[in-house]
Amino acid sequence: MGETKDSGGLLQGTLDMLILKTLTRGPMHGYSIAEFIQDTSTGVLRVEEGALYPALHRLELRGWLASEWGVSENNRRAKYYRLTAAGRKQLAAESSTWRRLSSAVIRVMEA
Amino acid sequence: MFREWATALRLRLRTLFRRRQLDQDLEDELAFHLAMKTEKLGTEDLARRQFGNVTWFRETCRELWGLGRLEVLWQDIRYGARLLRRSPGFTTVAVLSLALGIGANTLIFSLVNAVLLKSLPVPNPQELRVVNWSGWNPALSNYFGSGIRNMPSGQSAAASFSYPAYREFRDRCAGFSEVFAFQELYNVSFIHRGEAFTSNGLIVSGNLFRGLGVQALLGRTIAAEDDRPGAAPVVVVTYAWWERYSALDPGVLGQTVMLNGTGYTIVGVLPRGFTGPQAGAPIDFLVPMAAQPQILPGWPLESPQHWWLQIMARLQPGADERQAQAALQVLFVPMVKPSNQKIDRPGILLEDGRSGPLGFRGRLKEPLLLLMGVVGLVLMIACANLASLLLARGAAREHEMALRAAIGAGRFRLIRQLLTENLLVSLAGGGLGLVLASWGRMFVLNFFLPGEDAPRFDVQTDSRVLVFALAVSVLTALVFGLVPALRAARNDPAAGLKGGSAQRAPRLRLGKVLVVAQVCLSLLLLAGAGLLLRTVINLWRVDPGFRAEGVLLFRLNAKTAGYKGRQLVDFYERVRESVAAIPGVRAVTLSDNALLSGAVSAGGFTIPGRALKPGKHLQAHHLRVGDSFLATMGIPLLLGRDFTPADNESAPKVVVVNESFARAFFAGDNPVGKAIRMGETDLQIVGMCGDAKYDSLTRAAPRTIYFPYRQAPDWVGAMYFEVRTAVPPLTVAPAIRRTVAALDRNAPLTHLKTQTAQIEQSISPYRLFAVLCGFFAGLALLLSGVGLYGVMAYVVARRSGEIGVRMALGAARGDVLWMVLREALLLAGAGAALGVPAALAVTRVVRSSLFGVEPRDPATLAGAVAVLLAVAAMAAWIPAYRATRVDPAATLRSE
Repeated sequence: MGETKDSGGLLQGTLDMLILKTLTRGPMHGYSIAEFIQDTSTGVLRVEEGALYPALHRLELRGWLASEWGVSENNRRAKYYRLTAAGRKQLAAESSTWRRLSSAVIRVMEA
Repeated sequence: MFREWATALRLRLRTLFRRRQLDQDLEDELAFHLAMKTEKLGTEDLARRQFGNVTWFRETCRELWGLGRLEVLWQDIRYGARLLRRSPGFTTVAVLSLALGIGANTLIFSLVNAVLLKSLPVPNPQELRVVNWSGWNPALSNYFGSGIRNMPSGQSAAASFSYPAYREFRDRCAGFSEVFAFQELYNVSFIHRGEAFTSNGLIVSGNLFRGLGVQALLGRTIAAEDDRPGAAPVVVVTYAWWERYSALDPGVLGQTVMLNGTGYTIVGVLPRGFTGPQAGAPIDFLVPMAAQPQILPGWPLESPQHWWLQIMARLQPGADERQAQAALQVLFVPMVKPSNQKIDRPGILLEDGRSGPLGFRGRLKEPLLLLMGVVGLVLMIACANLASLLLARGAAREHEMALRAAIGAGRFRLIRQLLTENLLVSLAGGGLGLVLASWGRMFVLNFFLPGEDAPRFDVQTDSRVLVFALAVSVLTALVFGLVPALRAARNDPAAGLKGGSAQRAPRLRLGKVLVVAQVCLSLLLLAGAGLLLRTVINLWRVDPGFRAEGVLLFRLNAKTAGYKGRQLVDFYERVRESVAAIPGVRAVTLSDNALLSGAVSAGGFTIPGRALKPGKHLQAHHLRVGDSFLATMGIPLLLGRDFTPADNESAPKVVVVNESFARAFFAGDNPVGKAIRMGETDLQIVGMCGDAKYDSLTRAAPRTIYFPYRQAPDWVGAMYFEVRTAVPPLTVAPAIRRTVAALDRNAPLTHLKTQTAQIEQSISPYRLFAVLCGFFAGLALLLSGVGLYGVMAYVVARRSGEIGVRMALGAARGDVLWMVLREALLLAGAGAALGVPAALAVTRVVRSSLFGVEPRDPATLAGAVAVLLAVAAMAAWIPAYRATRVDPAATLRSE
């Protein structure tokens, strides 16, 4: 189903984790999720927007995100995503895996 | 994992019905994003470029939300439906063939379901067990009720116990939440609002309803309190009785009915379809065991010697069945010795009780399974039809398939498309089949189960029947469709696109093989149906040894109206005289059993002066009859005399015997003047009559002793009256009812029918079986005919060029006609050649349903072959005729 096409230079699977992490700050729409990731990583992680939305929808279908339509800060109809309880659990699992993995990679690279 | 999956499915299903909303949402989300981005970057162009491929975004999201394969399926279905609509001829034949095949299977399956598979309508039926005893070499006396079965292990098993045994089981056995008992009560006199009739009921233990877990539809059920000595007499009635005799009047609660002369208050009506623990039993009412002294007066309830009660039990949830069985066995074994029953190595056998005891349902098992096999064959023939139709159609659609393959449809996709089309056809056939089945069911039930004592099965199209029909439809689609689909999809696109189709049409070898198979299967069914038909004809032709025409029968039970012994005889004689005075009546007599009703009495006797081993008896059938029974029934008197009014209680005891009796016991000598001894009494033989059938048309007339019923008043109970009339018998029926009611309103008059109808009824199982098999064989023949027609039509179309050339070269029309017919007859002949040995091998399975004809009867088989060839010739006639209409000039031009 073409789920994991190019995700903007991101490691496979990490985009999901980043989205989940971003949404711990509260409900957001897709645009601000992309902006947040990009800004927070000081532009290092570039989220290709075309891939962001399929990822959001996939996470929603898995029950990790829920969505509702609301009005944005500049009075437009926008779809807001928020983290569900299952999403929180998933994020915890993914970030612990990530921590183990990245520290292992660092250890190897600095050996 | 499962939760995720469920969430996704829920969300997807929601969007499935809101496709447009989803698209709109996607567009809105995109528009919002682009607008925000444009604000940031300045131009929309830049924003779009950064976003990436917008179409890919849409497609990916839609695919995520969609049901993927299901949507492709929906496309296939719509495409298939369009195609089927476009070729109505094919669709009609295909759907009808399958509807007949699937309908026949569904019909028989719904009977199998109702009789053999369905659970009792009670909660947790899987906990129910039927309690049987088992053992080797049983020798039983005072044993009633359930018959003895031979188990595969060589043991015997049966289900009747004494009442004390039941009480012991109930009170002392662990592992069961309830142990309950019941027994049928036949021919109970039932008087409701002054109307008397006989009826069947159940006498049940007070905990039966708690054990089964059944609630009343109206009022209440029987409770433990009703089953105490001295409790107020109560009865619950079944829905069938309520419907038939009380017109569903809720006011029946509290009314009093008289059962064998005692009043009982109706306290409840049972739910529809529940007739006690025995599914389908013709039960009208249930009374508690406490009713025994009144309803079964003199019955030794407390006797451990009389085994008559059936016992069922409900296992405690979580209880170990083996422990429970062992516990029952420990209680049962010590009971055997003190009773008079002799059973080696007795034990207890628990059987699945979800459908109640097998009882009379067991007798329906074999014919039903046989019918299931028959309709299975019909369905196979229908499948073969469909397969050959599809092959021909596949040849015609080669071009389309090639085109679709050429523009990129994968082979798998093509096969799936074709199978989807087949599935559509078979589901349409299945749906129509269900409708046909429910019509057929009414017909079969009315035909199968008429009368008061007929089983009352609750035949419904329940979920199991629906699942069966669906499964058969799907399976059918795969069976008939897979080969043609594989073949159609195998085509080489290049070759398919090149030429036109008619000249290159394949030879359809597989289609011919299918026709041969159809003919072969049809022959099996025809041969079977032929044997059954001959059986029925033979039964009609059987000479019963008496004149059945012009005799009206009715049964009268004055005993339940309070008459006893001599009074009873006097009452019956008064009835006899009054009925004889009705205009149109020639003669009236009576007997304790009606001839050919299936009921029979028999017993032992000795012959004075003839040595027999001590304790040994000679055996003969008994019939207690009124004066001039032989003359009235038209049984020829060969020697001596018939009974006369002089043969009364005080006269010397006399009997008449039949010819078989004389042959067996007096070596054919004149038995008149000799005596037989029964108990301490000598009875003189005063006459010898011709042999007459007694209980069964199919068995030889038994050795029979006729007794004047008046000489043994203590033996007299209910009697059948035989009324020979000068007018059509049924025309005197109202006068008979009036006459009897005028003598005593409380004596129930039942079973009023002609003797001919009685005989018809005794052969009706054979007739039903023959009619059903004949019907299905006809169906098979029709389907095979259609199949053959299809193949021949195709052959003629394919060879029209060749035929044109032949005709141009001078072939006569007759030659062409014969050429086509010969090919059809060759196919049918090949099928018959295979079918004859097959029929010889398998018609054995109907042996037990045959009478007067052998399973391998050559005449029947020859007849079946002849019918088959005639149908083949008819089916081929139209294509053959069409072949003769080929215009040679036109053919030559196109070649």
